[in-house]
Amino acid sequence: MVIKIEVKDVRVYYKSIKALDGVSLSVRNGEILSILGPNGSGKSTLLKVINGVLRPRYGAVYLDQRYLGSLPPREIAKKMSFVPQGLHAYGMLTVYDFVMTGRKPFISFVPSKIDEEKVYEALKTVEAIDLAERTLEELSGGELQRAIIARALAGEPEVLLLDEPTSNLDLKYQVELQEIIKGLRAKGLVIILATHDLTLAYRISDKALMLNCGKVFAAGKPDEVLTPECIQKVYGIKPLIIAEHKIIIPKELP
Amino acid sequence: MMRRLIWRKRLILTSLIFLAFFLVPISISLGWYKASLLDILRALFMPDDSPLSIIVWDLRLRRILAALVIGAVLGGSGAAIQACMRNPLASPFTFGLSHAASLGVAFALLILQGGALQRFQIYIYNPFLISSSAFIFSLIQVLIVLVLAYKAGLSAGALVLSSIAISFAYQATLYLLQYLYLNEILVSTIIFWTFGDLGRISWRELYLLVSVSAVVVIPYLIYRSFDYDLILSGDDLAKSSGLKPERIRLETTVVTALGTALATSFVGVIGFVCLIAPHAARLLVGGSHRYLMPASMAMGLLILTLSDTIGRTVIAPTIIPVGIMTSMIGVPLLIYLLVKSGRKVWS
Repeated sequence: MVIKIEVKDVRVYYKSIKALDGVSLSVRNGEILSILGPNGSGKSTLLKVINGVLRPRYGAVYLDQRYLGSLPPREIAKKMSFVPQGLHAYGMLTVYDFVMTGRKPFISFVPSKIDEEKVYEALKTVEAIDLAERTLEELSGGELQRAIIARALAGEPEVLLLDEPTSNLDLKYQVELQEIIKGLRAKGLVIILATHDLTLAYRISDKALMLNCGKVFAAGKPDEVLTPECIQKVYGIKPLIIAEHKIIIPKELP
Repeated sequence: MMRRLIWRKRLILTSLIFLAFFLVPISISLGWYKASLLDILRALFMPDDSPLSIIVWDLRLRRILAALVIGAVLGGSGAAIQACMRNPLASPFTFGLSHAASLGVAFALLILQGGALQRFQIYIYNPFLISSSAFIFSLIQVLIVLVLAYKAGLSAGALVLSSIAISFAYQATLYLLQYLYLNEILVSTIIFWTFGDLGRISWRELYLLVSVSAVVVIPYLIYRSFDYDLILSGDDLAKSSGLKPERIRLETTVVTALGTALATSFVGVIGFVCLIAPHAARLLVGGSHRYLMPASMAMGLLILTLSDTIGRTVIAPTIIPVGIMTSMIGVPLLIYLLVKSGRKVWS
């Protein structure tokens, strides 16, 4: 399969602080990559770099073998959608209007019937049709997360970037989200998710990348990366890995 | 379900626009000089030298057209700035534009002698100097706000607070100028100017205002309305959708400053419309700027036309300046809307 996203030796600085240091990765169509690591390890920064929102000081990102920096932002937006970690809702936007903003790269002025249909389909995918008329301020954390994912899906992306997708979700919807992500992979989408949820990464990823202090600590298949030694070194806790059910939890609970 | 929601918004929007069209002939027919609606329409469409034609064309129509244009500009500007700053308290006027413009007017009148310059038997008169000065001072305030927001990284609340503080500084400078010059006529002109009166605008100023509003301000705000929804959702999402939020903010601030500063320089301070029109419109059509932007413009022109009509008729022949009337009508209306909407209001 052709490489969809390629990151080569990316280095990012926030003023003089090094946020990413020599990170490289590649993802092919229909693959799920999980970016793991403790707080401040550079997961969200890496997602922003892949999305083209943040320009690295050194290194490059390629989308379909084309240098991302040479592509117009609108072209990138047509192929990639981003799901941020939560959202502070303002201004009484309804869920429907919010999800419609996901169609922005395709709309020059007024949304068409096709755009309306895509919004409807996206809402249906995350089972949020009944939320359509409610404002974002009225939603619970989980409902808001569903609306954000629907917004990303409305743009029919080829690459989906998710930052902590299961945060704010209850157990039932976490399982449903896993199924949605698997379904999108089956359609050939590239899915890159930054997450603290090691169990989620273990269960659904084709590849995993463990970051520590902005550097790649380990990369490969999930069972190669999510080893007790690796987790203990990066997170500083001993994990309990139940391989049979693909569950990872801290071994020593307080 | 969603189709029904969209149609409801479109219906409300159409009703607001029809209401505005309906209000114009009614407003023209009201005033101290009594005439039937038929006579008014005849004077409007077949003008002659009669007193009624002069009253309709030179007194009432001019100020009503000004109310329509300025109302639309102020309403739209308020909605755009609130979205760009992600702050329900934001408007070109809460950011100190009116105080900056007032100082600009004082500067033009007292220091630049109102644009009239006489040297060596040559008399130069610049009729747009007062407006230009008000505009330049407003623009300086816009730049200060932008620097505070993006360079100093102030939060929305701190931005409003610092703008209020800066407004006091403008006011103090204005008082100082008035105190130093002690020119009663000029000082009273400045004070009268701060009242905000639609009757002050000349046809030439109205043409300029209509041109700038119709060519730059209103088309820009309507064109950007969908983008404002994205900016409300956060800069990261806006950028990931291919927008450049910083550029849109800068453009919006400059465009709205152009509209509001021009309006302010021609008719004086009419501040409250910027704040109330978007909030009232939001309660009717919701938060999506594709509907909110035209609805805010329609609401703005309705509030201003209605305020001016009441101001002209309530104690006729004395005319209460529209700047006073908008606050008198706007404050209870805003409080009523806030109380009625309860939790639904943007907080």
